[in-house]
Amino acid sequence: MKCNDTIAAISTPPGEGGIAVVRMSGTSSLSIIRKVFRGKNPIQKNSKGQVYHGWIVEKDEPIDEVVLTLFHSPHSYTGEDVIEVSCHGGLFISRRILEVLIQYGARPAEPGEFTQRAFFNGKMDLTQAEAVADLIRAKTESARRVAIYELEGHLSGRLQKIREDLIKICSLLEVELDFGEEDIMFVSRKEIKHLLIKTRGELQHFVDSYRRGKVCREGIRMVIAGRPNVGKSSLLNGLVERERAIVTEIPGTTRDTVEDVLDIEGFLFTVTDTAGIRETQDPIEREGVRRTEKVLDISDLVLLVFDGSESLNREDEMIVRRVKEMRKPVIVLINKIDLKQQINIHKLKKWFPDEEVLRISALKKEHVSRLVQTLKGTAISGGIPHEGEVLITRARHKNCILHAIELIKKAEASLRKSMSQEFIVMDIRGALDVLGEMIGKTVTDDILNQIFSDFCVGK
Amino acid sequence: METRRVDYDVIVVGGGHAGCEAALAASRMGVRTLMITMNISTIAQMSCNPAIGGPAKGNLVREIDALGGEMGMAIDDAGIQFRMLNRSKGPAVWAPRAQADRLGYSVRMRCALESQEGLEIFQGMVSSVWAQGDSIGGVETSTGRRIACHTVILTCGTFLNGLTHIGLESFPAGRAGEFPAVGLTESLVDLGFEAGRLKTGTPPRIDGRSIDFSQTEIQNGDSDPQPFSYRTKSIRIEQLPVYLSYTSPETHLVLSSGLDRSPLYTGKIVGIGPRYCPSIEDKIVRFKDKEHHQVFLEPEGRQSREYYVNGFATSLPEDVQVRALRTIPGLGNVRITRLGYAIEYDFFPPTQLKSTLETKRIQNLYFAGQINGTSGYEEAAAQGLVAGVNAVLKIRREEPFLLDRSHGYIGVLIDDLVTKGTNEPYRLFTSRAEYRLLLRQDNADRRLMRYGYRFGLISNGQIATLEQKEKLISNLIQQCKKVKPAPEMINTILKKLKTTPLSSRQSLYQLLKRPQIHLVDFRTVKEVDRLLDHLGDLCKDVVEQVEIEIKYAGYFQRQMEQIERFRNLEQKCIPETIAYQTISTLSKEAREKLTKIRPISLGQAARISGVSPADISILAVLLEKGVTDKKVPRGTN
Repeated sequence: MKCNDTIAAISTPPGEGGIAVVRMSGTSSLSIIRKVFRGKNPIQKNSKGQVYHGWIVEKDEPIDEVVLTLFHSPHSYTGEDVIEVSCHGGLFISRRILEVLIQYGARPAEPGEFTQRAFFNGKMDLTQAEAVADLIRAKTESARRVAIYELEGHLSGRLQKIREDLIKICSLLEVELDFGEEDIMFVSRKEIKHLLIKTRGELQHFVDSYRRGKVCREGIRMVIAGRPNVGKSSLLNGLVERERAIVTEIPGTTRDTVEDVLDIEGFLFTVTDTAGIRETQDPIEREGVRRTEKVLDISDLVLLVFDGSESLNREDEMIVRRVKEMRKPVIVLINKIDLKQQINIHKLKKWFPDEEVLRISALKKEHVSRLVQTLKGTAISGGIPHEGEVLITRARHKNCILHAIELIKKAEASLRKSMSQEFIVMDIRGALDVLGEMIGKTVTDDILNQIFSDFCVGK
Repeated sequence: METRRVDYDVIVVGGGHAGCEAALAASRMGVRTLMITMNISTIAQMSCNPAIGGPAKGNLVREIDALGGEMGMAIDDAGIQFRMLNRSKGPAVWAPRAQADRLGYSVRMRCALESQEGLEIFQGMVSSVWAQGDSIGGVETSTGRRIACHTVILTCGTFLNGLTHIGLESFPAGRAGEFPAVGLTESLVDLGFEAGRLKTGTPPRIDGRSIDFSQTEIQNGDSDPQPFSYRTKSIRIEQLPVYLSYTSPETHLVLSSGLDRSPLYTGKIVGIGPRYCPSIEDKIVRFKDKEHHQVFLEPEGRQSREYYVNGFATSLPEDVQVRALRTIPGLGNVRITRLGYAIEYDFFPPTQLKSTLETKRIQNLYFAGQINGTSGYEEAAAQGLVAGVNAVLKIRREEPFLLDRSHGYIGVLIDDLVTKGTNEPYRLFTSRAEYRLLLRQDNADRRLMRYGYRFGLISNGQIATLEQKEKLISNLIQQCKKVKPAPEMINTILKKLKTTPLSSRQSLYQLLKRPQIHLVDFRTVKEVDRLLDHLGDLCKDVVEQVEIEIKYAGYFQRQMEQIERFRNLEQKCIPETIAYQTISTLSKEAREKLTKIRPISLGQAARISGVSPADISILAVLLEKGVTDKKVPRGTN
């Protein structure tokens, strides 16, 4: 197993700052730090955690004045001996310290390895571990909020609550089987049905939250589409510049689609400007169109741009058809309102009876703020977690819960067919097992414990 | 095999339900066996209620019988009332239960023991065992007799340092009026075993002549009593009824008034009692709102006038027991013949055992029954049988007999015991069995009889019948798919059964999927009649199996898939030599638990409480890498 060695990494983000932290975890943490640390007090392993002041040295040459924080196993994040070296900020010093640690036996940590160890050492369950991974990668405030919420075990907690409800239902059914001779008021099938439907509804709620959870975690993928020369690029520039929020130009995107990231009040939008869609014989341009369609395909939202200064033509019509086929949410934009308007708005409204139609001038920045408001509204209705709401953000969780729902439906079907309790319980137990896998619990004696606490049994 | 001279191959200590099955299995498998019991007259005594079977327990008896045990035949012979419980539910939870003639059962079982070749019985008290190295050497009785043997099976019931309580009085006793077994616990602790203390209780027994039965409800046996044993053809006896009455708020008032003299509530009893079988005082304290509790008056036997007051276990003082009983309708003038009491006794947490019921610490020493923290005659008998069989297999150096959770209730029982242990008297419930749809009382023979045959506990005739039955079953299922009666031939029958008539031909297989329909309903169809005739003596059994298999095919299929997934983990074996303490990535608790329990498979490891899924992932990775990986520490081989 890998976990026999000791890992180290710079834990603070790159860049200038007051202090930086280099973290080390593993069985050799203490022996390594003893070799490179000179302080007034010798490092001891005797209590839960300690703080030491001193110098990190390399062959007696001081590198930096630091504060060490020791977390002894198992009372640490990873469950192993963890040492945090707080040094002066700046990449140079922290790198030097990391190099020294590695020189004396530590190994550079791989991404997420501290969390992985925490998981392997039973310091957190799977949902918590995954939440940490999300937290590290959280791009925006709302994603961070979801991640922190999961980390605190809220997802586990909510699922645990649902599991308890299912265990309760099982116990109500089981008691009739094992204690049928007893003088017990058995619960009616109607009530069992209500309980099952209620629980299934709660699980469904989790699944529904997946889309919003995904939006929080990954942001909204938005595509600017339209025929060539309707002002798509200036719209992108307008949007991005206005919010002064260009994060990076993500490398590796295709030559003909340009992608930018936009943060609107904590919501992440990935905006892709596309090559104009039109029918063409030119093989290169055809490839561009193909890629545009691919981007459209994975998008969450389409900004469909029309040139207000020209009348609608066959190319516009073709794009509308394509976009409508995709059945994506669309915001219709009439651009270039600063010019003389030729566009047949009537026709456009007929094509998009339910969609919002905004009139802007990307170049002159007219009404762009209105677009931003609309985008924010879209994000809120589609993605913001309510205060205290738990969202499902991972496909693994979603699939587990969907599986559980499937099984509960089977139990309901058995109930409808008036099957005996043991057939109904079979699938509820299946659902319990599936949910248990998510948060790492097994059913075993839970049902019996429930029976013994609720019913007076025993002749 | 060791060249050491021994007096017996196997010595079974105890003559209760575990001891009887262990001694019979061992001697029937051909080894010299000695049973030592403290009292030959109380062999196979039912210490508590005079009944066998019930949910899960009935399945156990059927499994014991399929493996060649004695319990099923004994209760068929000594039963005085037979009922199939849960008949309104699915076949998986049908549960045979019988009231027994307490004395008759004991005599019947003693008769089986005494007529068994190779089995000797000796009355005495084993006060210690001795070991030779890490292997058992033999037993020593309280009179100083030392008996050497290859194997010892301890089935001591509630006798180990037994202490009975009635009110604030307590008496050392193995059962009311019987000596406790002293010395043995200490001898085992000296060998390094960990002991614990449990408690159980029993209700008073009363004089039937003092009961006014007119104030009670009567509960009769089934009109078509079903035998427990596959060897019993039918049961033709006159059945005795059980009577039912209820406690009242007045009863509860009387009981409450005695709580200050209850050994349970004054802290005199330290052992932990079973939650599923609480004393009546426990019931009224824990469930204050319940105004009535059921009380069953069960006959003790044909020759006895005593009745057993089931549901009224108590250790309250004598005067309270009398006054409380007299508030119950029908018991206004009741006379108690024997007082209810609680008993505390030593047990040995069963996590100290392997799945063969051999102790991990001392080779060739087996524990079975209440010494393992279980309660119930059936649970004890099942363990006795498994211990007896494995003792002989080990002497013969053959592969051990292991049943897993998908094989039978016996597998569930033993896996629960050795994997999770217990801190209250353990009883089997159907809900403990994950795969119970397939672990039915109706198919115990099909699941297990071949094992019994392999051990020589099932006769050639019986196995031949089973083979024949299997052949007829698969044949009949094939025929049901082929035979498609014409609508006009069966539509009147379908209408009579209140199910939709056919418009076109449908196979019997399709028709039988409807819950209301049974094959015999179509007897008037010539082809069906011929099919049924062809089955001969086995007709009833074969048709039952075929109908169950067809009606619940979808569920069974899914349960089979669950079992397949379960076996995946069960088959990932963990080498016995693995040194958990040196796998630093396992949590501390997991390291301790795994070291103690030493699971044989990843599946078993996952069922240990305190071993998290993360620990299992780590183990899985280690096993996946092959334990040949140099970094994986191994114990000495």
